[in-house]
Amino acid sequence: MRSDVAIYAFLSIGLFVLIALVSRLQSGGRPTLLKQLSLWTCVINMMLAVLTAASVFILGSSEFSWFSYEGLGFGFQFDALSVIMWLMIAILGFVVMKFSFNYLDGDSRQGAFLGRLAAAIASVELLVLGGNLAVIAFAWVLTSISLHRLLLFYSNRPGAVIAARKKFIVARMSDVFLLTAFWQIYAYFGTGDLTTIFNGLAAFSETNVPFTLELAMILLALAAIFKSALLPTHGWLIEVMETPTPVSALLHAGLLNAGPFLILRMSELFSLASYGSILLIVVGGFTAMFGSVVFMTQTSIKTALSFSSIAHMGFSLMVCGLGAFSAALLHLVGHSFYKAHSFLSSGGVIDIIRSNYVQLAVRRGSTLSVFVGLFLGIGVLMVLANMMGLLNPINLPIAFVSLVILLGSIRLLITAFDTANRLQLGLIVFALTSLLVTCFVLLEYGATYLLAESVADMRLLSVSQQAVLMLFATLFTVLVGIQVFAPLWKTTDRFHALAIHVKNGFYINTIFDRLVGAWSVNIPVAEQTDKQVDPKELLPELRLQYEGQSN
Amino acid sequence: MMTYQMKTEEFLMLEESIKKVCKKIAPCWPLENMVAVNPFLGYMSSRFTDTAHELNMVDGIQMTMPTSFYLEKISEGEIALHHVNKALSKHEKTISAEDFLKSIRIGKPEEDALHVKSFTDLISQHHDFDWTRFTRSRISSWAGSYFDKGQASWRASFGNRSIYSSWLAEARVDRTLEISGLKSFRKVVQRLPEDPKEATRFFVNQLRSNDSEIIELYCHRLLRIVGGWSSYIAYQDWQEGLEGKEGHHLEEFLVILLAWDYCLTQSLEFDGTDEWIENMREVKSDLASGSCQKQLADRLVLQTAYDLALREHWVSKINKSRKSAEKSQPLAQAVFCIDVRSEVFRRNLESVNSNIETLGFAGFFGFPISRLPVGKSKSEPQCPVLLKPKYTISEHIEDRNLHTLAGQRRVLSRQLNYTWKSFKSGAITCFSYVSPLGLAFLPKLFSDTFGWTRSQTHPDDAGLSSRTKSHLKMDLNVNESESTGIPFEDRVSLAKGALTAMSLKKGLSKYVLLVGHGSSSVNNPQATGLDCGACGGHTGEANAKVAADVLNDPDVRSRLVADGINVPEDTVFIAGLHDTTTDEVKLFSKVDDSDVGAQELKALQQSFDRAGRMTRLERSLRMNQHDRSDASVRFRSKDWSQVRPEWGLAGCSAFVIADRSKTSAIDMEGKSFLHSYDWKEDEGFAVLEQIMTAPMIVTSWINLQYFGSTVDNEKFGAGNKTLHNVTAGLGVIEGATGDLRQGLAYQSVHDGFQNQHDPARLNVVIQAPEHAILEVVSKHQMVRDLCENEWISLLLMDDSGQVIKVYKSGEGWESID
Repeated sequence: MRSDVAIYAFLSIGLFVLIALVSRLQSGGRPTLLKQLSLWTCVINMMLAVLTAASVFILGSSEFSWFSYEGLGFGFQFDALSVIMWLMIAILGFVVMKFSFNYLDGDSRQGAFLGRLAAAIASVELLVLGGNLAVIAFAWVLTSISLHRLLLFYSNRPGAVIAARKKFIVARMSDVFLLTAFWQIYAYFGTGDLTTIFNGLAAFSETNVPFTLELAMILLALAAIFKSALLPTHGWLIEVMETPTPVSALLHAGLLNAGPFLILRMSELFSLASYGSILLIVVGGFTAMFGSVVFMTQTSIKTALSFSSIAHMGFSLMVCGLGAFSAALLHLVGHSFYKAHSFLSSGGVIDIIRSNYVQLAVRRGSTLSVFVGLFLGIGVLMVLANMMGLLNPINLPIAFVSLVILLGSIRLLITAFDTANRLQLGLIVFALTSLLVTCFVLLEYGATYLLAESVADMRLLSVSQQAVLMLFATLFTVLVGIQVFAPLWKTTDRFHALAIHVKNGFYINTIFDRLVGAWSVNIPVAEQTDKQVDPKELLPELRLQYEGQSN
Repeated sequence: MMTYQMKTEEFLMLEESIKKVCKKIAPCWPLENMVAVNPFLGYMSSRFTDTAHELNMVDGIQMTMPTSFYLEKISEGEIALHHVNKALSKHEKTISAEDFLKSIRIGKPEEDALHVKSFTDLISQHHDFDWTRFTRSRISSWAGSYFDKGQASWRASFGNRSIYSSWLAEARVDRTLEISGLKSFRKVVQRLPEDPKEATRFFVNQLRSNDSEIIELYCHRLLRIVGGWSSYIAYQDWQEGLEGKEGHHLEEFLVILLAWDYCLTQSLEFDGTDEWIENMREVKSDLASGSCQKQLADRLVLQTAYDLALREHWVSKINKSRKSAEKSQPLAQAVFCIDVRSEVFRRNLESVNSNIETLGFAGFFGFPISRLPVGKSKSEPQCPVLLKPKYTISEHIEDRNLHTLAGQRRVLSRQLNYTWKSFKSGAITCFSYVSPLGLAFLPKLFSDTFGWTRSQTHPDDAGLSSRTKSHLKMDLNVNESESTGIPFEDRVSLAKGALTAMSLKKGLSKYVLLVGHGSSSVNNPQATGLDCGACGGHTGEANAKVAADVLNDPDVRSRLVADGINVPEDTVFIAGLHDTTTDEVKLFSKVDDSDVGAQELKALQQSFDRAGRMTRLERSLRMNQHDRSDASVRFRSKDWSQVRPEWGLAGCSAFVIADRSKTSAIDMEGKSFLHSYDWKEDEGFAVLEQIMTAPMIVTSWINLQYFGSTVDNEKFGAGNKTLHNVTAGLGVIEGATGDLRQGLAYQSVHDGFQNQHDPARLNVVIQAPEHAILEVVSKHQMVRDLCENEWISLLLMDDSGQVIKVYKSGEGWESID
């Protein structure tokens, strides 16, 4: 047990808690002291995260526990998974916090905002560093409470109140799933300490997992599904732009990751799951398709980005369900930076629109280009397959992720080569595709290497898992195929009608709206209080002024 | 199909009514060229107070600040009792100021205040369901997809149909209402007439009232439920109007709203016609009485008092200042836009170099062009939105090969972007993008945070290398096939017009700098709102360049001699661009270093740099920033988290039309438009007429836009920037759903502690003979409306630079006490 990293972690979380406390004293506009404090905290936090990461990579993983009773005390886990997450949160925390300084300048409650942001960062850090079931469960609930306070930052807005209400319902259900799951695990192993639990797993293989554990894993999957806004619980996420942009950035890039993180954290256990994993693959797979299709029809940038996040969460959890944990983490981290940037820079979308007035060449719809695209794409796949040993059945989950990369590449190539005689375009796109694939291979190797100790290895998929995988491989391919060829088709009314259903997210959120009374006249919003000047108090002063002038 | 009858004459009357209502909605430009529009544009022929009354009735719109604002101004001494007294007498009230102030009630307006109600509004009173908010959200969802300029990659709309039939088709598909509890909604929609005119007749027939006033109020209410989208659609009609056509988009949009109101009533089986008609009659008689509710009436008096106080501030400031004597011929004359931001810079420029004289003129320099950037398919109008651009000027590079190459590269880059974007935002393929490349945003997050990189490429830079950019020139040559360029004869008349209007027919210096302006900000959806309004929400660079090219042409100059305009041979016109965010001025001069003039130009550039530094210092005080350093003001232009890159035109409350010597010694606080004008040179007062019918109208638009966004940010402002959600590539909504927002954001008029725009009507000060001004007023309805109905306050300056008279509605000039 090394205590230096634990001190770093305590220091980091403590500083953020301190900001949250200080913000009570300086909750108004222009909180100069608080800004300084938050900035330094974020900088120090990044340094601490780097130090810890270095320590973990050089000296290896470690655990820390304090006041431990049956492994339920105050425990931290320092391994590749937790330090990568910490590092990521530290960077995002810094960017988001710094962004909020000017972005919310002049807001009469900027201090309170920064404080709530700090509380949210502290709770996520606690979650990712948690070393036993108790700490993780506690942080799990805490993240949702701190988020709730951020969502209600403008509590005078009915939309904000409703989004928070939806979120509250979903989050409490997620809490119940998680607590029940953890209780079962704790009861089974008699300890809350993760390492002890994982060591105890050596006795099992996929075939002899006791019923309680299977059930626990189904509940874990449900907790993750509810936490990360997968179908059909996503309604709240597409409405939380009722609160300032930095919250969206932190939420989509940080807090929302809790679901996939939970599965990654428990991966040693979860890789044994037969039903839980199928649940994740199915719900995650459908969510991935749902979110990414609905995304295409959205006309408001932040709403569109929310659907995109839903899709990415679905995909991450699906990959978790397949047992390709390192690929899932890679996706998660990549998505976080991508989405944080997308939200923070969402005002610039108009610059893109303004750049668009250039005549585009039409698609030719030539069979040749389809073949060229396919040929090159399959060439890419061969390279991938050779390099990564995808033909080995144990690598099936990675083969699935590679298929997704391949589908993207083929789409790029076909569109490029099919665009009116622009060989130059085709060549550039081919270069980009090669870059894409190279990055994927390198990063995938890197992630596998880094995470070798902290997440479970891939296992041979069961027949039913394989069947589900094949189903989604087919569905994904069909979806991409449609997108490649749709621009060549004549649009019909039926196609437009489908688009309308898609735009409305197949009305899932409409049902949620109805359940929570989203359109009620009496939504309990906070009153805005204006300071009032009483004319009667002014009068003596006025009289003086008046007399002064008439003299 | 249901049956209905309406007589032809009734129908014609109805059409008239609908046209009248649609005129009440001011247009709202899309974000790609967000220009200031007077939100009360449809009300210019009504008095300010009557408008306040009616808009309050129709949509609860406020045209004054809350009472507490004025009371604070009184306690701070900004409004004095004599202002209140005078305001009371203007409003024909006999009460004394003290008694009036004692009688003021503060707090929220009464809940049961009378309002125009649609059926949707009425139903919401009977159910625990906010149908009005719901309507706003649904209509906004339809409009977002229908008008989308390219945010969604899959357009979810029957976009190939006209407005009403597109909505109808969508309403027949959309299940939202059924799921929300309106089981029969689609059945009702199914039976609606297909033709918009027929449908209008049908819906209005259902109202069981043929009182055209009531129908107008009702239709107006409907449009205001989604006032933002109505305004955007009104903009489309406006554009068609410029083409000489009559647009009917808004009328068709109104049919949707009528349909919605009808279908909601039908599917809820709501029978409220009696209640509705009773309410409408009450509203009608209240409006006819002309006297509004006491709270509003009180606030209107206070607003007048505030206007008077601010007017007094300007008048005394101008009258107390010393007037500078005539100066000898300066080395350079710098023509700036009339924009309030130029005032600060001009003052500082003159103070650092007394050899530079500055002038104010509309920032498009009288060249109504449209700019066609290299490789682009759409040209951008670069002139005031009241005008239709006459000439399209394409950007070009003199080297033909380079030019072709640049065009090809831009197209290729766009094509690549398009292909890449459809990959990275496509269903499923978005995963193939994020897994390998998502990490690339890690360094970008840092570099954007510190302003080292721009979060998105600037649209003018997209697809162009910086080398290509530096070679770009404006191509004046006529190109028949692309219908670009300006014919020679037109160049001569443009040159003549510009010099005449600038009062520069004689006395030209060696250097005449035409300084347009633009802004620079990042991650700012409303960025173009900070650019030059006279250039239609673009920078003035293209106009300045074209103007300089034309005026430097020796052939043009020799032709001007015939018109009595003698441009000295050694006079050089130089285009420049003033970046109002960083206060840097860039001169686009062709003089190379070996030239004799190079030294002089270098000195000029240095003066501009020094003036820029001083202007930044002055602006930093108003920015209220913690760090007052020069660098921190500049950084605002690169900061992606900055919601106030600059103050824009906030504070604008005066417009002085006079020669510079009358204002050069006055610090106008960056709140005054300045137009150079010398009536002694103005034959037949043609220039005066031009100024009063164009720049004066535009400044009143700007002033009233800021006014509207300050007094009622909810209805005429864009709300909170931190909640902005860019929609359909043309506007913003606030939060997750709701109406399209127009006007300025709260952050653009308020610094969090106090207003940065003083919500007062514009004070236009003109130095010209009394009768000449009155003639223009009586000749032009538009100008008369502004003055008579108290949308601006018109003031007269005599030749000694004293403001002596004010225009009183109905009576003409009245001396200022």
